Formats: sequence, structure tokens, C-alpha cells
Amino acid sequence: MPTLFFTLILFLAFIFNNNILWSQQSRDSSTLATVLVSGKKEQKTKQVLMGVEKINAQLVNKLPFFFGERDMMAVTKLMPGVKSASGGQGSLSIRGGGYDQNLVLLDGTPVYNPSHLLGAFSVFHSDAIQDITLYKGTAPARYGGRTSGVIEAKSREGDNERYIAKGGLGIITSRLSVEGPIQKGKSSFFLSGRRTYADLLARTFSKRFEGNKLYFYDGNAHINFHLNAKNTLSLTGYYGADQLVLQNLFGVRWSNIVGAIHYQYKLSENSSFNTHFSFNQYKANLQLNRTDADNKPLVIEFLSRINEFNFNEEWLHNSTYHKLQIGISALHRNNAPGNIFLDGVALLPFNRSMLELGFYAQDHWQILPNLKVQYGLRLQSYLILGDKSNANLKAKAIEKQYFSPEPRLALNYSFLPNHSLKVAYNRNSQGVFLISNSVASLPTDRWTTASRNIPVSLSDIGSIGYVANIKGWEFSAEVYYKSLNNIADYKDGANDNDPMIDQQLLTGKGRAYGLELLIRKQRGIFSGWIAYTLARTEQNIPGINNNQWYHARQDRRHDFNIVFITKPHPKLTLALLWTYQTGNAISIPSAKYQLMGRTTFFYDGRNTGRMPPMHHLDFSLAYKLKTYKHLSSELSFSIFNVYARENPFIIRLKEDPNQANKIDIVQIALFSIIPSISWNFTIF
Amino acid sequence: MPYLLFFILAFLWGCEKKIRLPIPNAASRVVIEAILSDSLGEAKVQLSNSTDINSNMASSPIHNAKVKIIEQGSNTEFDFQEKDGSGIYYCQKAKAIPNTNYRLSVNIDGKDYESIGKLPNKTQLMNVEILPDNANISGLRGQSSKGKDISLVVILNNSNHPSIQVAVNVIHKKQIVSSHIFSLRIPTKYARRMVFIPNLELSSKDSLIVNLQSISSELYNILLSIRNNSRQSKATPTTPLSNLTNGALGYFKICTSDTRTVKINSF
Repeated sequence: MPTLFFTLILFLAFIFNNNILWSQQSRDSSTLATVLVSGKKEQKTKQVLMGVEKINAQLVNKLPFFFGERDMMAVTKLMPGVKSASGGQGSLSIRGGGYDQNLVLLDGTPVYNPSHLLGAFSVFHSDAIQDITLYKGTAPARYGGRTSGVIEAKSREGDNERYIAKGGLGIITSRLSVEGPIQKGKSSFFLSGRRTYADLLARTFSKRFEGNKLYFYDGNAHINFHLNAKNTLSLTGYYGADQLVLQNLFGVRWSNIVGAIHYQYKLSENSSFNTHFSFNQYKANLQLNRTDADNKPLVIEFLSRINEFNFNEEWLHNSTYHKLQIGISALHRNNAPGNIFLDGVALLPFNRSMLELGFYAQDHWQILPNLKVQYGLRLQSYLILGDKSNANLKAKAIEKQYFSPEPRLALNYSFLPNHSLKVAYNRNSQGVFLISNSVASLPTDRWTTASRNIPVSLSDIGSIGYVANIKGWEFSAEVYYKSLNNIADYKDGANDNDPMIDQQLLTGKGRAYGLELLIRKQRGIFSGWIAYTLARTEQNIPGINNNQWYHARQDRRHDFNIVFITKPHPKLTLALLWTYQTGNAISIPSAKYQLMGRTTFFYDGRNTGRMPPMHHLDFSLAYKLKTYKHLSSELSFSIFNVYARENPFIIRLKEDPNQANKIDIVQIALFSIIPSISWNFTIF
Repeated sequence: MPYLLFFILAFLWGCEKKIRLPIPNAASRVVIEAILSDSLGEAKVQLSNSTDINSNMASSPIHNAKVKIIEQGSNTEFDFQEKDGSGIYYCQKAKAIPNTNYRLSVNIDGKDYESIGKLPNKTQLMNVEILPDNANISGLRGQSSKGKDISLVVILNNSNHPSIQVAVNVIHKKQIVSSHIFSLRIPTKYARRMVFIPNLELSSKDSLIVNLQSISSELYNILLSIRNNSRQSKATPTTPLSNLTNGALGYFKICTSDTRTVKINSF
């Protein structure tokens, strides 16, 4: 394979990746209210791919978010076709895809569950991240292993000329970052850390929270070495953890670890090799403190974990009309879907290993001045490895192999200046799945992999769109259709504590289709956008819902976002954001009856009901304070959910305490109106 | 289990309020809860209709139904009669014997609902012990619970077969205060299983009746699905399983029965 790779020379190029790999963050924030996308900005009408958005820190800093926290992932939710899970959670559904169907990357390394505190914060905060690129449907061939969208976050490089410290002090979270040169002009470092202390404050105000813990912390590190004109080396590290503890009765902890090495060798001005090694781990642990029959302390733990080692080698080459990208990838994944421990001893431990191998080739071809095409092929192979640790299983080295050829095609035809028609098609496959209940998305939801019994899932997505840029206004309309095969869902009455998770799953097909509309103003005294999505997502899995089509959990009919940003004064920025989403599909009983003295519920089918819609209005105000010789700062004030809408997180049934036999439907909302004030500073 | 705890956590940290959701009305369904054991006097069939989810009624009893259990082979019929207009039908003579199939037949307004079952092998209840208080959950909001937490240890003799499914009911003052089902898949001659009963108010003159029933694996799955349905904490809420025909909800249980009475002496 390496020999084949290095001898395959085709002279094509990849414009788009150039922007992602080489974009530089602009430091001139005074003009940034008028520019929504930075870097080597290419107008949407000229981009060959559809459904792509690039988000950088400068845009994020102007928008109001939770507790004043600048969150790039939250901006992606404001784009058409992107929806969050219920109650403002961090999980994303892109073009009707499941929350596990998105490839989320930090410097090319996968990140699982990229959020803190049930979605209140994302793992990507704008101090540590340079930009995020969102691919909603048609991603380049270098990306594989997921059937829906791709979200690629790029770490911020440290300043290699001077030392800078940045931070923010807020009422709920605080953060600090430090960057500077290791060797001036040649190498630099960037370090950042963040912690929330919501529980400490809650305990101060109410004894009800005594013994409870609710916090997260995370840290980023990035080191860059420009060894010489041809060689560049960079290192990335990330660690983040969340903890929720209830009165020493039980606790939940989940964490992410990322470590990556990236090396680039420039063959010439137009040609380069990129080598990437990385490790990532996601772990979720639920602990119960009980006593046994002899009244001795007993600790019960439920642990799920994913460990991955990843290698990528890629060759890029540009010429006048072609931009070529050829690469190979290898990923080893070890997954424990959910092992139960009693006092540290595992009961029926179950682990699964898999190898994902990929080869891809892609060409971006400027056929005519107004016609360009990007075409490529990814060959993806999944090897299910046998469990050699247990001799009784008599496992083979390779239990099962799946192979998926995945063509990619995108076409852009500009029939008029600043007007384009686009067509795209992608096939994708996925070998790892998130098995979640039908009510809420939780960090302890279980990740599992394809196996002998559960095949890899496949998706085919086609889209057509129109984009126009007229006097600083951008208009776009896109229609997509996605077909899925081998998607998995819990069977009726599944036992979600079963370590042998395959026994609780059934597989079938799915479909998602929708219309996305966007109007965006990019320049002037005010800027912003209005985005609307009309969509539908369904599944048909034999053995579920009487073998009929049913709404997928993430099915939401309408999604509406209005963003308004204005800079009435050079020192003052105001922003308003209003978002509306139809509620998730949920299973609600339509009748009740009595069995064994208990109220029992009758369900007409799966996901036949719908949660109330989610909507909220957010406001922010940022004021630049006086700048001193080595200090600039800003005071920011924001209100999340101005009219205190109680958006549902979970729906459950509860017996009415005042009326016998009456069942109430009760919603639990996590977040109401949340004001925040923070002081953000830069020391240079 | 993880989802139940998250409900608790969300309850503590979140805001809870009652809402109304548009729910399509489901047609009323017949609910049958039929029990036949190897002991005289325990056979009964309870008939009711399901009600709308928003209704104040728990259920609506069905009257004037024709209920019988037929012992196949001998074709002996046990006729059940409704008592006190309660929707519960009894037959004092009905009793199951080993190695015999029984067919339940219920006719309501001309429509038949049926089920067939067989008596499983008997498991004996050897002994019941009461353990000291086990109040390790004093209340999620820091409040102390009422009554006592009692742990029973049920010792079973299952030497007859490799795996059994059993149901345990704890009866106090003629009410079932706790019921449990569990499966013993590991072949052991004697098996101890602990049953935990929280918040039960008892005095030193009280007694508990522990009733052990051996059930088939099919019925074990049905009772498990009923328990999971009422807990709302499972991955995919669904209507419990049923072994009745024509879309009837509920179950027909044929079981062996063994009972011990335990007196409460002191705490």
C-alpha cells in the first residue's frame, strides 16, 4: 500500500483544503463585525462544495451564548440544516443524521461527545480554536467513517513573535491562555485552561446543593515548529473532564483525551506531504455507592470507553487547473460498550476491536472559468478483530470484514456572475455507533462498533442548490435527500444494561430529506442572517413499530434562526439571536391500564409523539475598555433566554399527587433565563 | 439504570412543570390478568378496559364476561364468576396439576380472547430471613424516609432443573406491598436472593407473607416488560408483552405457589 501510494502521481490540486490548512487568523477585530468569514475567504458562489461553513473566533466573540462563554460549536447550530438535541444540548444532528453520525475532529483527531455539562458548553472554546469548518453533506474524500456531517476544528497557533496572555473572569466560568515564541519567528506554543464553578456558587446560595458537585475543566496545548522552509512539525494536546456527583450516592464522570503529531514536508511550492499520528480516548463512568447484604460498602460502576490510534499520510499537489489530494489512513479502535464493575471487579467484561483502513484520491478541476468539479473516491475497509484475550471464545484474528467504495462528486456552474448552481453526491460508511435511549442524549450513552451481527451503516446523500451574492447579500437554497442502510436502534423493551449490546439492537434503513434557506448580510453597520430548514427524518427497522416507517428521534420539522449583529460605536457591539426548533420525536403512551396493581402504559408505536418546541431569545453587549500599553480588555454582558422560556430537556410521566389514577405529563427544563457578565483581557 | 439516575439529576437541577401534549386517542383495549396456580383458592381472572392517558380512571372493569379455564386432556372446565361487580372473576375449584396444558377462554361481547399455558416445575421456598435495617438511601432531598427498610433473604431449592424464573410477592395486611421477579440461570442446589422493601411501616406484632411462584420463561419476559414499562427508565418505552390473543393486553400466568409467613419480633 505505501509503495502504491508513493508511486501514484497525478497532478491535481485541492483549493479548499489549502484554506483550511493555511488560513491565518486576522487580529484586526475592529472591522470584524462586517466580515463573517475570515481567512482566505472564498465566496460561496465560487466554492465547488455545497453545505460548507467556516466559523472563526471573531464571529463567535460577537454572539451571545451561555454564561458569556464563546462557543464555536454553538454557531454551527445556527446554520440551516444543523439542529441540536433537546433542551439546548451539545449533540448535533446534521441534515437529519443521528447525533453519532458526525465526524468531529480536533486537528484531524476524532473527539467523541464534544460538549460539557449536558451540552451547556462545547469542548471547543474560541480562545484555543482558530476556526471550525462545517461540512453538512458533501465532505472531501479525506474524511471517512461517518455518514452525516464533518466538523473540523483547528487549534490556534501561538504567536511566534511575542508573548500574550488572554483570559476571562466570569460568574460561572473562567479561563486563561498563554502563548508565545519558543524560538522567535520559528516556533511557538499555546496553552489554555478553563474551569467552571457552578456548583460552588450554588452551594453558597442553597443548602439543597450540599454534597453535590457539578463542574468541568479542560485544557489545550499546541506547539508549532517551523524547522526550515520545507519542514513543519506541530503537536496538539487536549484533556477535558466533567463531573456530576449527587450527595455521595452516585456520580457520573466523562472525559476526553486527544494527542496528535502533525508533520509537513514541502516537496516544492506546489507539492507537499502531510503525516499525522494521533491518540484519542473517550470514557464515561457511572458510579453507585450502595451496601451489600452484610451492610458493607459496595461500589457499582458502569463504564464505557473508546480508545483510538490514528495514522494518516497525504500528498497534495497544485497545478493551474487541477488540485490533487491522495492519501491513506489507518485507525485502530478498542471499544468497551458498557462494562459493569462490582468493587472494581468486572462482571462479564466485553471489549471489541476494529481496524479502519482508508485510501482516497480526489481532484479539483477548473474545467472552464464558470465550471468546476471536484470528484474523488474513498475506499474504506473495516476489519472486526477477534477478542484474543479470552481463550474460551476461540476468536479468529479477523472476525469479519466490510468494504465500502465511496464516490464523491461536486459540481459548480456559475451561469451568471455571482450566481451559481451546485450539484453534489456523496456515499459514506460508518463503523461506530452511539446507542441512545429515545428520550434524551446523555454522556453515558453507549458507543459500540460494527460486528459480525451489526454491519457498517451506509449513506448516500444527493443535493442541489442555488447560491447568489448580490451587493453584499448572500442567498442560498439547497435541497437534499439522504438514504441510509444498516442503521441500528434499540429493539422494543431493550435491556440497556446488557454488556452484549448487539443482542439489544436491530438494524434497518432510514431516509432524510429537506430544504434549507439562508439570507445573509455580510457588510455594513449591521450584519447577520436568517436561516430556515424544513426537514423530515424516518427509519424503517424490521421488528420495530410493526415494520412501519417511524420518526427518528432527531426528526424536527422546522428550524428557524435569526442572527442580528450591529456595531453602533467603534467600542460597542450588540447582538441578538432568536432560535426556534420543532420538538424531538418521542414515544408517548396513548392509553393506560392496571396490571399487578401498577399503572401500565400502552404505546401506539415508536416516536409517535413530539416534545414541545424549543425557542429562546439571546442578547449580548460587548464594550471595549480603555487600552493600555500592555493591556486591552472588554466587558461583556449577555442574557441567554431573555423571556425565560422553559425549553424541555426530558419528558416523563408522573402520577398526580392530588388526584388518584391521574397521570400527568411533566417536562424537565434545564436552563431558564441566564444573565452573565465577564471581563475579558489580553496582556501583550 | 443510568437513565433513571439522570432523571433524578435533571429533577434536582432542572425545572419541572406539567404540560399537555397532543396525543391521539387510542381505542379502548381489553386487559386480562389471569392467574392459575397449583394451590386451591388462588385462581382469579381480572378483566378491565384501558382508559385514555388523561383520564382520572385507573381502569374500567368489565362485567358479564364468560370466563373459563379448560384442562386439556380431561377437558375439565372451570367456570369463573364475577364477585361484587368488581370485574374480578373467581373459581374456588380451579387448580393446576403438573404436565397438563390449560387454555384460558374469555368471551366479552361475543369476542374471544385465549391463551394456553402449562405448569412449570415447582421450586420450594426453603426459608425467609429478615435482615437488619438497610436504610442506605435516606431520601434524595435529605429527608428521612417513613417506616423501615426491610431486607428479606429468600432461600430457594431449585435442584430439579438448571434454570428457573420466579416471582416473589410480599403481602402485608392482605395487600401486596412489594413484588419482584428474578431469574436463576446458574445451576445451584440452593440459591439465596435478597429482596429489598423500602418504606414499609411495621410494628413488632406484624407479619409478612412471602409467596414464591415458579413461572415459565415466557411469563418471566412478560412480567419483566411490565416492570420496565412502569419504571419509564428503559431505553425504549413500549407496551408490555402479552400472551393473549386478539390484541388483549395483560397475561395468563400458570405458576406453582409456595408461601411462608414471617413474624416481626423486633427491630
